[in-house]
Amino acid sequence: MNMANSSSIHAPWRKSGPFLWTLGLSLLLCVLTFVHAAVATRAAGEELSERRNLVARLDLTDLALFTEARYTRHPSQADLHGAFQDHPLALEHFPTGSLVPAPAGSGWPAALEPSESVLREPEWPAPAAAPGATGQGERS
Amino acid sequence: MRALLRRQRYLLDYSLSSLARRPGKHLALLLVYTLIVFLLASTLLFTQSLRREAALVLAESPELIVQRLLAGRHELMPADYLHRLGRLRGVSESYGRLWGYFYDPAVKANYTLLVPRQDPPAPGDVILGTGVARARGLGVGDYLSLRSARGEPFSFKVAALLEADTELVASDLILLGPEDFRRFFAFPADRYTDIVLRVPNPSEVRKVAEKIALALPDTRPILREEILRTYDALFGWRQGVVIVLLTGALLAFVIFAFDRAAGLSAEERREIGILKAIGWETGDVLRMKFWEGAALSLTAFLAGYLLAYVHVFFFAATLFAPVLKGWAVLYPDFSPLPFVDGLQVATLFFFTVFPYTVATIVPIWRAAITDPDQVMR
Amino acid sequence: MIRLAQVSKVFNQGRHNEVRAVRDLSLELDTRGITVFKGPSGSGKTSLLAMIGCLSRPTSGRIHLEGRLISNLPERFMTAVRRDTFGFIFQRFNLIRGLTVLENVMLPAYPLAPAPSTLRDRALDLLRQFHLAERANNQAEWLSGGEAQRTAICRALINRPRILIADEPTANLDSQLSRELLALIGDLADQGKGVLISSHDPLVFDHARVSRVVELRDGRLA
Repeated sequence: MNMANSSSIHAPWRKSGPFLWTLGLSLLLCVLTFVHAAVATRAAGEELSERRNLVARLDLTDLALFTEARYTRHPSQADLHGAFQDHPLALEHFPTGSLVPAPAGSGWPAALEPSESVLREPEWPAPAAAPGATGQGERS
Repeated sequence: MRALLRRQRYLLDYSLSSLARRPGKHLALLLVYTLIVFLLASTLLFTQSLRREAALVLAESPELIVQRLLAGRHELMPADYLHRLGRLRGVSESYGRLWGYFYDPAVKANYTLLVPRQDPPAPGDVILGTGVARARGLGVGDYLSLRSARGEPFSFKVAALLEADTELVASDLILLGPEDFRRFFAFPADRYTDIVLRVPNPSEVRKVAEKIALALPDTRPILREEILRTYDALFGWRQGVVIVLLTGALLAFVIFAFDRAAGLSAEERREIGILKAIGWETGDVLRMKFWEGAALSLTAFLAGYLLAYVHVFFFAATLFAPVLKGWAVLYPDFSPLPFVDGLQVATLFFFTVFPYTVATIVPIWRAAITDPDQVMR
Repeated sequence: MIRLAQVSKVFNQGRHNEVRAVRDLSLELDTRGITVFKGPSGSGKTSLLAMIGCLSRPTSGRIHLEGRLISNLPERFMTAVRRDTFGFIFQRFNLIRGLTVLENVMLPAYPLAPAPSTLRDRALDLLRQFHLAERANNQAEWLSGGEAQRTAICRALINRPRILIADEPTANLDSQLSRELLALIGDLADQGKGVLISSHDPLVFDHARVSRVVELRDGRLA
């Protein structure tokens, strides 16, 4: 009688048991994702170097992710003054454009402004008459 | 120590029983929470993977590219600029690049036409990126017909396809010979698209760029480090947009949790009173509630993260493809490599598990410090 | 021995709805046998029991348990004394819904964290003793009134307290169940537990096994 009762009570009365098992298993899986990541990225070395070689061979500059327009296909090469591109939040024609910002700085990096040390270097020929005025002067 | 762990486990037992009392409600909560974590984690994993990939792959890009600008717009590069640039110290090699875009009305796709510097295809031949081949349904030996800039039809023989593994960088490429390129686009013979300078010593690149800026004021040098930075910023920005949106969702969720916990039902208050009356300390009640919040948010985090990992790295982030595609017809068929940033995952963990847990225990505090004798009244 | 000296309990002190539940009460109680606090509702029985059982502190006055002052302890220690010394049986049973009978019985022991198998065996022994063994895995809200009351007794006994405190234990039971309950309480008293009961039910305070009746009115001894 008591035995029967005991066995009916033997049902899992601790809910933390299965929960902790599941939790432990999930944690293990989480650790395994890092192991998988390490293994998979190492295994992808060849594939990766294939891409690197192609980039080097063809002088590529961008990922072929967004092929809609020239400034989305080659964000790093895009016109600084391309239409609709003045502000990363500007509403515009291509949906991707609302997600792709203008290249960092949107202009001359300050470090690239001609410095005095360059101007003083004797080996450097004086700038020839610039063939056609450009927008550069206006921006600085 | 053993007793301490045992006690926490007892409290956890109670929390789980407490959660199991309203299974529908808590499952719904868990589901929504898991979904938010899943989206956040997918975004993080995907953009992190692309960012690393871009950094690794584009590290092979030319150190310096010089574009010509005319009235602030991208212009073709006169060939004689090459001679004026070639004499710079630190530059080992310089050459003009020929590349451009072609819109193919047949499949409404943009192609990138490019002349390889080494071993360009023979006249009349092209090498296709796999994306182009897929879009046009072409294989090696087939002919690709395009209408040139002058309106004449051009037929190119597909000599080869680029390796499928290179799709991420080359999906929309059409490689052709320089003569074909110039004839097809009616491209002036004394012009290039831009100029590449190879500068072997990284510390000299900036110096060279400064000199170019001075010598050729109508040009714009693009440094490799700028390219890399562009991609870093691009994915950072993209990631930022999605994360800002989802953080809103997460915050709303936390507020909801806080509100729910703050508006304790009479039944829950009574329950806390009973627990205190039968010998639980305020701290035990709080710890029990902590386990309740932690169990829920930890489960949501683990499930969300694991699902996101599977989604991004085993199913190639299929849910994100439409967002990235935009209006583009050519979309590279690629699987992101699992570059996982542990710190990012830790951050995600902190920002998903912590606020919810805190939001659930803080309002309990008030109920938990009430006198236990109210159950007698 | 429980000694109360000039104990008062005031609710909502200083406000217009101030209630003086217990007024300046001094009393000595034996911790053996069954003591019944008798009186109409509002006479202060429950407040008195709550103070003795370390559920609340007196507004003024002192309470000693076996010579130890327990009325001014910080919450932690008060809880410890309550947990170790007293077991409570409430008027409305106060079982926790959604938990099984077994879980309800074990609840008071959770903060003490005994070994799980020990605790489970102790709880099952108690349930067997009170004829509830086959109910162990049932949800508490499915129990009949008598079963719920017996479950509450098991819960009160799980930490092996010396003193049981029962607040109007028969209020929700019919006469038959009330008599059964009193028989059980009598058995417990025979086993050496002290029992303090508040009640205005003649079935309780006229019961043969009651060793002392303390009558209260308006917070004072009547």
